[in-house]
Amino acid sequence: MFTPNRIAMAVLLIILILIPQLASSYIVYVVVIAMLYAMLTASYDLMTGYTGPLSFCPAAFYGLGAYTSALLTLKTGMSFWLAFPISSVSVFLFGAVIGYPALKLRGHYFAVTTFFFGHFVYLVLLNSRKLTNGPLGLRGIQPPDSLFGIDFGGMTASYYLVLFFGLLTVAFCYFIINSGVGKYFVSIRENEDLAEAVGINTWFYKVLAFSISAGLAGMAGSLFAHFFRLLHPSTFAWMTSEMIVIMALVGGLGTLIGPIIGAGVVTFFLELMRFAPELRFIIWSIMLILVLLIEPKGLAGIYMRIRGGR
Amino acid sequence: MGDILEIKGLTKRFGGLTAVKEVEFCVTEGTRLGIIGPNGAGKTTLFNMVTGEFKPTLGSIRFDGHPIQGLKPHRISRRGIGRTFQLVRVFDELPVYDNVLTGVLAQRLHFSPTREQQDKVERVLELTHLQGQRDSLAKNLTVAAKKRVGLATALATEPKLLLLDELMAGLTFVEIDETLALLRTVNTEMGITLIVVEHVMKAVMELCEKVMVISSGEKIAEGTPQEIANNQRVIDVYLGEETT
Repeated sequence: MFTPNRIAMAVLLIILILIPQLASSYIVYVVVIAMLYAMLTASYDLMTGYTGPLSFCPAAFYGLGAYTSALLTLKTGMSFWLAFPISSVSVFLFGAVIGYPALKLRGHYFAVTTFFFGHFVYLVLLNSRKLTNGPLGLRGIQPPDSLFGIDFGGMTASYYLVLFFGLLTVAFCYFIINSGVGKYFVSIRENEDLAEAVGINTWFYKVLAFSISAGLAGMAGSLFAHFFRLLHPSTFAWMTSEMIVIMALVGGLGTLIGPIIGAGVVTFFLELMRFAPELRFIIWSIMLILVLLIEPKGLAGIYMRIRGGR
Repeated sequence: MGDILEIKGLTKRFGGLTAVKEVEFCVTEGTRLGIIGPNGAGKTTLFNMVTGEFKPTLGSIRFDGHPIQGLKPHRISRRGIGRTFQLVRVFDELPVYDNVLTGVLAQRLHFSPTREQQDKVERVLELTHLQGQRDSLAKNLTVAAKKRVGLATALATEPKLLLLDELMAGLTFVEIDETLALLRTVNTEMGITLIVVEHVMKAVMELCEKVMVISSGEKIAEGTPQEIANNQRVIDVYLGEETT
């Protein structure tokens, strides 16, 4: 019942719930970024950590979700509460459309395809000036409308909104991973040919994992758009995809909790290092190399080793 | 009993190389067929066409009366053809239990395994003598045990026909005898038709009712183990022709 893991998670949850009451708005802001990243890394983990194919375009789906949701509310006056599910589902479908041909490829070929797809989305966001306002950025996005008498114009209510959907994302990933479909995903990661030989339609389940991962990233994007209310294409460029990949690696791909912890640790580390902007990424890179040298399964792997789980 | 597998004019070309050329044979349900031949004869290519890894260039494969050539491997698996791989394949980072469970779940997806599915895993583990290693990660096992896990995973899919690609290679004599006993049980008690590709002659001769010989992609002989052992063409292929 009270295993160390559960206690740690309960403590983390209580801290997350109390943060807006106790911490400065700066901390609240950083925690929101960390939570959005946690949603992205958890969804990324579902694809690359559990199912296997290395994807380099999580930020593209994040961006598509953000812009779809923002443009729906801005151009059609649609409520956030409608635009939010519509954008998530659209990005899910978009993931399926991209995954359908791309996942006929395996290994490096698929990875390179996602890399270029990610860059393609960035270029489209940057150059479709009439639609996205290009490099000038998209302004004037409204916070979610009041719901059940809660006004989401303030930071606190928006914080809880992100926390709620963050928890929902993690719970959803946990549900998938522990289902029969999750077993299919893992079998594809472990040995695709064998999975196929025992009767699993590996291509279909890879497309499914990719689409779910995309849809969840799109959901995070929509929340991002209506929390920060300003979108710029560079937020969804290669750098962000790289960040998501690194956070997942540092935390430990193929474990659910690892990438979430990774998202938190990396976000806070980079914030703490703001006093030395030139050194920030140098120190960070060295730390990354060290973590991966010591334990390829990242922080989750180190933790399991300490607890003697392996 | 009828023929469970009927193969006609089966040919596979890789560019200019013909790996399998117009091979024809039938397998009667419930029997044990051995396929032998020198290295590079096309035995594995033949297997890969039956299981759907490769599309045949020409020819037809009928399983249970239905054509299956060109279907994807997972479809063929679901129709009831199981296989093991020449280079042993297991789900490395999963415990033995989950390896077998994946085989069971692959045939019928449930949110979590049903009671029957769990029982099925237990029965297969017992049959393949893997209960003792159920919690070990597959990657930590010996080659012999990994091969048993591969066989167990294939059995878990409840095949009607099982294709075993060099299951005996690299095993000790004792392990070969154990595996032979296991395969006999699989054949007689579970009613699974067996096709084995094997270099270990002792195994082929003891296990199989019928043996087919392939050389350079062509079928050169078929008969009982005794007939094959005395067939001059087979001896020539294996030992080289006598110069007179």
